[in-house]
Amino acid sequence: MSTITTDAVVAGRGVAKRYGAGDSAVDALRGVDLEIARGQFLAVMGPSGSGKSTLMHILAGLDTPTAGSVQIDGREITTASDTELTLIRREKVGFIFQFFNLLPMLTAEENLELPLRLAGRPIDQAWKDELIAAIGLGNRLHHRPAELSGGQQQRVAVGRALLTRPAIIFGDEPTGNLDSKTSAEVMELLRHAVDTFGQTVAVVTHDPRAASYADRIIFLQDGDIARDEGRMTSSAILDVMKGLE
Amino acid sequence: MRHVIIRGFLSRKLRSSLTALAIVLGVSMIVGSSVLTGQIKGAFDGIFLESRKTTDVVLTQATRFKDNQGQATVPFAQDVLAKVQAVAGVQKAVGSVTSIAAVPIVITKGKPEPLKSAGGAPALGFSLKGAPFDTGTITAGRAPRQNGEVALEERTAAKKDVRVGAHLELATSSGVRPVTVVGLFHFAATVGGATTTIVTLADGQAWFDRTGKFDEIDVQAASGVSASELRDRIRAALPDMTVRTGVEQAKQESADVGSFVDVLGYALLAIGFASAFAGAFIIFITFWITVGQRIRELALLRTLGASRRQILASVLAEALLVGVISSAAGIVAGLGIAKAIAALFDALGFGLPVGAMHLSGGTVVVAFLIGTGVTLGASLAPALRSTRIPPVAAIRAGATLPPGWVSRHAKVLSVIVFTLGVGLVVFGIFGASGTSAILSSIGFGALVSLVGVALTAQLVIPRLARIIGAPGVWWGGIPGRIARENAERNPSRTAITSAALMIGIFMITFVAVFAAGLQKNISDVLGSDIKASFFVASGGVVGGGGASGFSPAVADELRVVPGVASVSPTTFIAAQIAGTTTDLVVSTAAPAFPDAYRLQWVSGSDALVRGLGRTDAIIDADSAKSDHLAVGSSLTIHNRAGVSATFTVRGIAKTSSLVQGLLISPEAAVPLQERSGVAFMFVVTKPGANEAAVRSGLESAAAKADPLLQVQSNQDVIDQATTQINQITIPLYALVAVIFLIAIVGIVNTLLLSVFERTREIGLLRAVGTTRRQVRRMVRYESVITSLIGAALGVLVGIGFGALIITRLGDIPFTVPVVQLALLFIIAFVAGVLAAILPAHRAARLNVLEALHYE
Ligand SMILES: Nc1ncnc2c1ncn2[C@@H]1O[C@H](COP(=O)(O)OP(=O)(O)O)[C@@H](O)[C@H]1O
Ligand SMILES: [Mg+2]
Repeated sequence: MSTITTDAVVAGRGVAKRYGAGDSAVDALRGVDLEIARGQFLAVMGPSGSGKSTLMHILAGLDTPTAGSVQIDGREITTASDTELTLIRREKVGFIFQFFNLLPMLTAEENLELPLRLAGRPIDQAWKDELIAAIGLGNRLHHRPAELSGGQQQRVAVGRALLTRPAIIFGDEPTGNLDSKTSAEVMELLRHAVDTFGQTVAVVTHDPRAASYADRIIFLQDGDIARDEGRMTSSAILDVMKGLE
Repeated sequence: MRHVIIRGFLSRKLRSSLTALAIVLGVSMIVGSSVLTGQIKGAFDGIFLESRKTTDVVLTQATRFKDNQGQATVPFAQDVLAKVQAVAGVQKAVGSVTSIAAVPIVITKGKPEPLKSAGGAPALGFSLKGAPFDTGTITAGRAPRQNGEVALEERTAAKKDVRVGAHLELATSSGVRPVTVVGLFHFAATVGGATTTIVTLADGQAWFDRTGKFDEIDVQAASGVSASELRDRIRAALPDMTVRTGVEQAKQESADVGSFVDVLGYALLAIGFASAFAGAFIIFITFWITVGQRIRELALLRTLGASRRQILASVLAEALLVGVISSAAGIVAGLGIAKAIAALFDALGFGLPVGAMHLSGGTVVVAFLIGTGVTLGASLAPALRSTRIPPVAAIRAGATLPPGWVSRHAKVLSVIVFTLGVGLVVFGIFGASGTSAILSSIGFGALVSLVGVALTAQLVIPRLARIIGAPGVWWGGIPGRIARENAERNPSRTAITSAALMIGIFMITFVAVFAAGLQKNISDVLGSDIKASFFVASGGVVGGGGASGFSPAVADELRVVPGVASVSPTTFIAAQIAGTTTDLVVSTAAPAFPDAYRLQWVSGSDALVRGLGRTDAIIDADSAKSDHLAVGSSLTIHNRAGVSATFTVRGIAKTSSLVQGLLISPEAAVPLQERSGVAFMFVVTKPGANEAAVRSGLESAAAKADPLLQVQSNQDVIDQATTQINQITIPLYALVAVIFLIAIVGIVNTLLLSVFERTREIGLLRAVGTTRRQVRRMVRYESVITSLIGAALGVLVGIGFGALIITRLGDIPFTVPVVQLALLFIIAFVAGVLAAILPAHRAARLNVLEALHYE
């Protein structure tokens, strides 16, 4: 297999996904080509059912494509074994989900450290302190998720994703469950990570205001990339979205 | 990861502790039974060692074989004593006699009352040995010196307020005699509940049917001669006797009793293992459901980089934690169980001596191994399942686990397991040889088949639930219908949850089938073989029967009662055919025997019995066949002491309850009998006689001769047998109740998990107008359906196995104990209702809004 010589952290080639078979088959992705450059803040937009989540799952190695290849940091993941995938997740990928990011029985701090503890890696205390300051959790570190607000929970999730210094952080509607003020706080936090730490981030969102924090916005339609744009204002994004629906 | 495990464990406190409870109960039964067995054995060891403390050497008659009726010693001629005294190094030697049926009778207000425990503890009689051999200490009065004087053990005497100077009667196999209590004595260690009477040697020999005989000789060594040295010298001088040191004798006596304690121990241990086994099902289903409910949590861990091994380890570690904690708790609880079982036996009248409680290291290790082993073993499949959770399940709402290889082949596998189990049992019953091979293949086979049934059950659960749930639907409307659907929609869950109850019900059914068979056997025999109207026996036919015995002279008193046509005394002798090891029951047949007992002749007629000569014998068809004997054959038999006699076979009768060996004449039996007492007498009434009048005549004649005698009709004997069977089965049932408790815990657990799982559904039901009461009813119906399924399966398997084993034994008929089984279903119903209380409360308490928002 040829090595790709770009500075892409994640590279998908002809990624296709078909659910089911025969008459009832659904083509969620129809051969998407996408490279995410190091230090890029990517937003994936598109109407409901256009394949955003499917694309993200496949790029993150959570799901396998029906056709095509995906490389994370130069390593092919579509043919990797479960153990290899586990190691790639540990070292290269961070996740932020819409719901259920934190384990309810652990404190915020324990949730934060969880990936490093799972991997048995040492914790960089200075980095951790810096992140705790950045996510602004202060005195709530020893609280359980149930005692935190939705925004606080998502900020812990962001902090957790950052703590391992992954090659890329994926977020599937990370602000989908939040009001506009807390949503802005979380997006600002991600922006901050990209700007100050050079973190690569890719988020799926349907909220134009959230997408306006990104450097690059791709619009999916019927399982393919309809438009690939640079930084946009939220009203411009809204216009594109209207055109797609 | 440690955090995740421990915090997770704590966050699932209720379900963890319910799961743990199942194991605690199982482990505590195992520990309890082994501790109690140890206590009882320790107590017996103590009692026998104490009683032989001051004796250096003991002589008893060597026996050719063991009598399974339990008579320990065989009397021997008293001239052996002189030979013992002649051995160099013997300081002192004393002969003594023993009776296992010497009952003091207190006359209160003209009514005779036996001084004997109701629970069946023996009434022992001993002759006084004199210093240094007597181990009791006189606490009031003095030891008996003259004819008619006795000393009583103080605790039994106190029960009827018998004091020194009291005039009593003493009933033995040779009749009833007036005696005077001259002393009370105290045993440092007493066999619980046994009445003990000490008489002079001369009285003992006369009364205990030992004229010119001893049961044992106790020897004290001269100073400077060791017990073992003296034993060897006496052995050399008297090679026909069994010679042991005092300590050896005590150990032997303890071991003889010990084998009975072992049987008790095995029964208790079997219940313990069954409890742990029932617990395993509960652990399995709890972990299985829990893993299903933790899909998102475990998937999240996977997305954060947890490996499959880490997930596996986390589930297994939780199981280990549950196992270790509950084993420890089970050990502590086991000590309580030991006490409780001892108290139960006490309450039921089996006064067993119980020594100091001792928890051996071995028991602790075994308890831990079983407790944690069962928990880990049962959680292995759920743990493996948890590793198949894909990381993407963290994001996809409502993600379910794809069925694994085992689930996909569940039907075939479960049928294979079941067939394997039944195969093992059938092999054990029909194919295996050797007791341990038979027992282990039956036991292990039963275990495997129960697993098989639990697994196979999922195939029939929908149909079963439909039948069992029908009344609920009819009665309960929509909640009833939903409950039935709920029980049906997850057949394997329902099947495994009901498995614990199935195990308990299986055990009870199995025992009940046996008990019913035994009972039916007795009524069949009495109905078909017995022609006599009444039995007369000491303590009743099944009460003391053969062992106690009573004076043959009573027959003369009974014959003169108006309306009595004939009286035939019957005695049993344990014998073997010379040159073989085949045990043979020899019964005596008086000339009137054919009037009382229906003999089915293969060859011969009733006339043979009426004219049976001293060397004539009638043999049963089975023995004739197995020992190749025909009419005209001659055979020699010997009793335990080696006394032999030769008979000629004159007739062959079909094998029946009293014809399971030889029938010989009473005269021919005399030299073979170890004691002269008879087991029971048949009384045949004259045609047209008023049975009630005859009975009261017999009763007063019998009471005059020996107050312990009971006159019984067929029905009385059946009732007495039933009481005896119940005495054994009721404690067993009571102990199996522990498994019911485990089963209830299991149902509670599964229902709680199901309610949690269906939070949304219940919220929706509530939102559309289901009342709290209806929600509670729904849960209750589901619970009852589950428990009734368990009962149905347990009863079916229990009857099946009972039938198999009874068929194999061939001695007792197979009957279905309908009433008991109906009762089991009622108990299962109640268990279901009880198990539903907490989950139903939980379900009804759900806040509708929150339930709908529940993510
Ligand atoms: N597990 C699945 N099985 C079948 N179809 C699916 C599955 N997941 C997604 N789809 C279908 O694939 C298409 C894309 O879905 P998704 O990636 O979730 O879209 P988006 O996130 O953009 O809303 C939709 O038509 C959806 O119905
Ligand atoms: Mg989506």
